[in-house]
Amino acid sequence: MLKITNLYAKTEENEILHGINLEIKAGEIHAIMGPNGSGKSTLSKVIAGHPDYEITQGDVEYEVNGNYQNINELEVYSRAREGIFLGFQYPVEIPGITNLNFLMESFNAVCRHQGAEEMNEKDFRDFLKPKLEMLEMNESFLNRAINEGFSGGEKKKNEILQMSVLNPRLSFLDETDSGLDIDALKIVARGVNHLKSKYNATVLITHYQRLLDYIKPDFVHILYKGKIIMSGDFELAKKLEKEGYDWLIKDQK
Amino acid sequence: MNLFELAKTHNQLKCNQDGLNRVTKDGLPSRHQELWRNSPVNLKLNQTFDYLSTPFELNTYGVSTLKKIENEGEIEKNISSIINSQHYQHHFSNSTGLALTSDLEAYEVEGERFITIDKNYISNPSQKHHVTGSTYLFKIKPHSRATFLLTDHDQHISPMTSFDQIYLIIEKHAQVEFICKSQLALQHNSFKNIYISLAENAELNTVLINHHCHYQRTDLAIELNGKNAQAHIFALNLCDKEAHNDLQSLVVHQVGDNESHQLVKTTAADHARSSFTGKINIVQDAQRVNASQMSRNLIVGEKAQIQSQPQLAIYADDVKCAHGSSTGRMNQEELFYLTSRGIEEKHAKELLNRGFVMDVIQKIKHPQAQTTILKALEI
Repeated sequence: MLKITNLYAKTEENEILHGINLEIKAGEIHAIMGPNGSGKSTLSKVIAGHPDYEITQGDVEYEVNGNYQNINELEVYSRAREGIFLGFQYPVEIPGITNLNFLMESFNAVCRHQGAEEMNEKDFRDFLKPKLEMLEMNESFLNRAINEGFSGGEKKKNEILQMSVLNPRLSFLDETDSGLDIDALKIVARGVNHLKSKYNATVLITHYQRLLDYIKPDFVHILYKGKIIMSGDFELAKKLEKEGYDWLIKDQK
Repeated sequence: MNLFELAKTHNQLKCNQDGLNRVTKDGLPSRHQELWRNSPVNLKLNQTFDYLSTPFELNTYGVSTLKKIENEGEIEKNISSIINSQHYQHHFSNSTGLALTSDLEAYEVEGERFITIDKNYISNPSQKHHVTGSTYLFKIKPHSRATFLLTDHDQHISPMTSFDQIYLIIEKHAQVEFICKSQLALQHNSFKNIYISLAENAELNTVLINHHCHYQRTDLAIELNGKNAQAHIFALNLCDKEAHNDLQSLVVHQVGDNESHQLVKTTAADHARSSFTGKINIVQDAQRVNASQMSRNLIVGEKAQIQSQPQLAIYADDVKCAHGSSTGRMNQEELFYLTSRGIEEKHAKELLNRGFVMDVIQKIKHPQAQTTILKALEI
């Protein structure tokens, strides 16, 4: 579904990614871990197409209708319409636009693109109901402005709500666990697990193993100084939880 | 005939002569002067102009049901207590706001009321420059709930200058929503003085919307004179073409244990200029006040300018007083957020622009008033 080959990327003048290789297939869950500043968030933003980041070398190829396409050829909104989703570490607050309006605009934009029928407000509200229930979100969230005045946990739940509405093929969840208490973490994890299928893939970007207790990854990668320095399975995450990153970083030095 | 002479004829209260002298001496402001931001007035209005007492169609709803205050002594007592207030004088003496007092109408508002006053300016193309004005005083009785919707727009051809003054005296436990929208043509200079006082436990939600206008000057003064009073102030300035908008707000906490919150949003396109000067004054011993002032500005045009000046004068030591201001172009993170959800960039920008405006419009609580405003702004 996604092939990253020798990816170098920079923001302004700082080169942050230094040759990443990663392949993600449908049905897989990957976890990308690593200390602060290792480039985890950069990677997800590059995939989503954030304008501040520029690919300087290497390729990111994404499968669209059975063919691999260079991701640079797709606008940000096209990537989303083709099923790439970024769960933001810090979701922005946008006053004046209601959550419902926003969700419906994005949902219908994706529907139009995929040739599916658009929904009217009534049907869309019905469509949202079970999703809100699963995430233990009150319906009143729909009438509030996007993320405005939401607590940290509510913002993250709102990200998962958007994910469940758009039903993406490839999701990058950037530090979705940060700022969550244990109950909210369980709810968010339940949402992500619920959306898992053999047709989609999820990449969890996280500092801690805590989230991985609730969402089991098939692969764990350690990112350090813009490079994947080790890959393994869930056991690697457990080892990190016990021993920290020091032993790995030492090897690098 | 100059303004001063005019006022002698039309000014019933004779209490605004300082302001009037100032206008007569300095004239009306020009957008080309260097110090435009603070709106000193330099374009002398000694040209020929016509004073028309009613160059507009007035449509009101609910006003006729109010009790008119006929006793001039009582009116004068109310007004002079406001005008003699030190803060008020200081604030307005810098503006031309007190310039012209036309016929004053004063009313008592009791019970639950919805009051609308709509002015449609019409002028005669054969006349050079129209000058007009109106003054309203509303005294909102204790425990009453009132919504005021003041709108003005015009279809005139010749230049016009209007001075409007509105005094709201909100008594104990009364709740007031005050919405004022100006949607005037680019030949129109509009000066608005709005003074609102709040007594104990009084609540105010005010939404000011200014759209276009050659020169729009709004002086807003709010005095919180009682404990547990709450004032929420929202303003939306939409300027384009050659518009010049200037909003000066003054919020005075005369006693403690009350709160005021301001949000001022401005968009400037084309060559428009807009400025906001917002002062919060918390007097000594007005402890435990919670005040805030935010200004959010969006520059759309290459040559548009926006200036925002927060001014805090805090003389009490146990208070919360927050202020913040941002001016810039469209927020790229917000744009990325929307586009990353499949919304095309052009449409995302439209949504963000609309959201910027709606953020203020949504603060209007009265449903009918909100609908009227949305319709007028064609949102």
